[in-house]
Amino acid sequence: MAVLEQGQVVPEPQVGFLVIAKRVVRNYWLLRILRALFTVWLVATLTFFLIRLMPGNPVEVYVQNLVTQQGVPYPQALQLAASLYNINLDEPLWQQYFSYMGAMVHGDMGTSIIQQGVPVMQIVLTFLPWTLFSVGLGLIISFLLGMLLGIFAAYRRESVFDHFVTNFSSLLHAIPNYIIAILILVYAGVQWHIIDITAMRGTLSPGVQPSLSLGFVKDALYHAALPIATYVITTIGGWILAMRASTESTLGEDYVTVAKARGLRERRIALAYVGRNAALPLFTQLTLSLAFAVGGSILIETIFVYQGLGLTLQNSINQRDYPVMQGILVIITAVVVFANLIADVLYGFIDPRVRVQGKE
Amino acid sequence: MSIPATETGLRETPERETVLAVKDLEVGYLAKRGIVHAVRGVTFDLKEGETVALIGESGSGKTTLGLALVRLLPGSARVTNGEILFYTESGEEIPVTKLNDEQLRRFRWQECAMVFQSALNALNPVMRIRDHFKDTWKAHVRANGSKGDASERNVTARAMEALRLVQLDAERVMRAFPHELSGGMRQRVMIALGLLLRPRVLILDEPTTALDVITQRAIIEVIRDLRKKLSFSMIFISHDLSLAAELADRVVTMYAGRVVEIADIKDAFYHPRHPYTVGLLRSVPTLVGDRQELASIPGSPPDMIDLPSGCKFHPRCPYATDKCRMEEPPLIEVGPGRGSACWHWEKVGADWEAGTNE
Ligand SMILES: Nc1ncnc2c1ncn2[C@@H]1O[C@H](COP(=O)(O)OP(=O)(O)O)[C@@H](O)[C@H]1O
Ligand code: SF4
Ligand SMILES: [Mg+2]
Repeated sequence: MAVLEQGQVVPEPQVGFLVIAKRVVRNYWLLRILRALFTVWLVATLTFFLIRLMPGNPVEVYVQNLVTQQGVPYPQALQLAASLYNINLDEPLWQQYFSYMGAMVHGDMGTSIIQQGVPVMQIVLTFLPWTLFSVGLGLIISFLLGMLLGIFAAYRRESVFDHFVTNFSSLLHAIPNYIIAILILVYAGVQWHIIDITAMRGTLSPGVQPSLSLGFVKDALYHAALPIATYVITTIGGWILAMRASTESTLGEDYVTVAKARGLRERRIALAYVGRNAALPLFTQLTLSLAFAVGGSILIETIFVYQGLGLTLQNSINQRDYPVMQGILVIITAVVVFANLIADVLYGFIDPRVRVQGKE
Repeated sequence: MSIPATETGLRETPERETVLAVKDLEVGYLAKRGIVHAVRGVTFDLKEGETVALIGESGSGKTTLGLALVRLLPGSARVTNGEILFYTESGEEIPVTKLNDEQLRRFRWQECAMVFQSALNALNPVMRIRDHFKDTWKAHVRANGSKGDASERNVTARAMEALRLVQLDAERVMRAFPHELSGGMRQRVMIALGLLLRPRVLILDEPTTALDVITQRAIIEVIRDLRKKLSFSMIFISHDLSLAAELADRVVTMYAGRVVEIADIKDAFYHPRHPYTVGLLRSVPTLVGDRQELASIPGSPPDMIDLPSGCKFHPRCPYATDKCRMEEPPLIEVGPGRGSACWHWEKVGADWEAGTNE
């Protein structure tokens, strides 16, 4: 208080860059977008260098194949490879990096080394929808079903149903997704012949074209069924346990007791007072789960030979197809990061308390 | 010698209709260490248009009693004895303890609304105030067929009216989410919500405890104003005698789960007949003025699981004798419509009137 005497320094009006910087820092959403872009850039940079640190490059892998599998003498194989791949891997790494980044800013992620001339973007756009479809549908089914079972378990606490569901959830939660996939493959497919795993391979049956017909949807679901089942089985336990715990604590909230005192019907309380509020914290975990599922899709799609982005990534890694690997990793990151951002925006609509915070 | 519930009441208007009668109610909580004897044989009644203040230290069983009246006790609670009878406007007797789920649901809020002690979290944080009113309305009033829209407009009008009664900016509050309102405003919303269906009885459990002094005053003024405009009966639960003094017609003092004194407001303040009430009065400086210096009751409330023998107040009572330690006094009729659960009420009264209380 005493500072407000004479000789006090009046703060100078801030100009230019500082003002803008301050606005940016104050604007929650602008900040979030900048952070998202930064994350994508960071992952792009890291993968760029990590990929190139992997033993073996595309030419070496190709030469190795010629020598060991076709008995071509080494020098000849080298010549063959050099003429086939017009890439210059001898260029300094940093120079490669800057030209790659420069192109990426313009949406150009280069072309595949193996499938010569095919733009990476085209490969990504061909396979990404299938992965988003299977992973997305799996997650939504798992989320909704998990919430429903979780809320039932919480309402019938300590019942046989509750014990069964809770223990089963803990078990499922502990098994890695690829184990589930292999179990499905081995038992349902090979041992018991319940499903025809060969026919289910790929994303569509031969001859089926993407269209808005029921036939197409059915076929797409048929081929995606095993990956989707795997995503559901491996994530549902987590949702059940989370929803059960969340419901249990919500049931103890004052507003639930007061809702009873107000004479509301049991069903209305369970839906609008318990269910809705208990579900809120789970939405924040949804995007995290998406990231895990997309990561897991690499193994799952390989196991079921489902032609999504995961399988394509797996193949490109085997062939050391740098631009494709890199492109897919960057796109996956971007999808997850921006899904996160969108989820946060949407979250503001379901939880009014967050909306206020986001405004200023 | 305890007074039958129907014989207590205001001296001035003894003929008023009874809306609620509690008879010999006993409630216990099952705890690890044993049974918590929260309410032990409570008998009292509430007359039409009357305000009864339920007074007592924290832990004396006031909230438990209130929750029992609307049957909202937690799962660990057991009602081991007693009756709760409610009388509707048409004179119909509702045995609250015997209602089935649907009857109970309809009874709650429509006949008897309760504003809870911890009301700051009483509203669903993700719902607008408007929707709280709608939900409450829809739960009790059937939309008549195709007139769904008309009834919706009706709810809004009723809700706005209720909000105005508690002196809130109705338009703005209806649109707001709970977190956008201050504690005092939320408390008023709860009171307005409580009045939406015009219940016969409104229970307010320490409605001002969580609020600052200025907001407390405002809430008390609102309640006082409502009492003038509307005709409902009220049970006002508080540990603060001075608040009770502003609102109540009658005071029911509780100690260790039991009613120790029932008296109309003037008698409770100016002619107490129980050492515990005397102790409470001596800890309220504003009302007794400079009569005595402020003193809080020595000792601490009893262990509600392992209660003392005889009169539960004896470890803290300056009048305690061997009889007190052996035998628990019933509620003794000490005047028309008033009772005191004290063996030595006459001496306590005489000392008070002489101004020589220990
Ligand atoms: N859910 C509960 N489980 C066990 N004991 C409880 C529970 N609620 C209250 N009690 C006990 O019951 C007694 C009466 O509590 P309460 O009715 O809340 O008193 P008041 O409202 O007068 O402060 C206290 O001893 C308290 O500890
Ligand atoms: S009965 Fe005895 S111990 Fe109890 S309040 Fe009266 S004088 Fe005190
Ligand atoms: Mg209480």
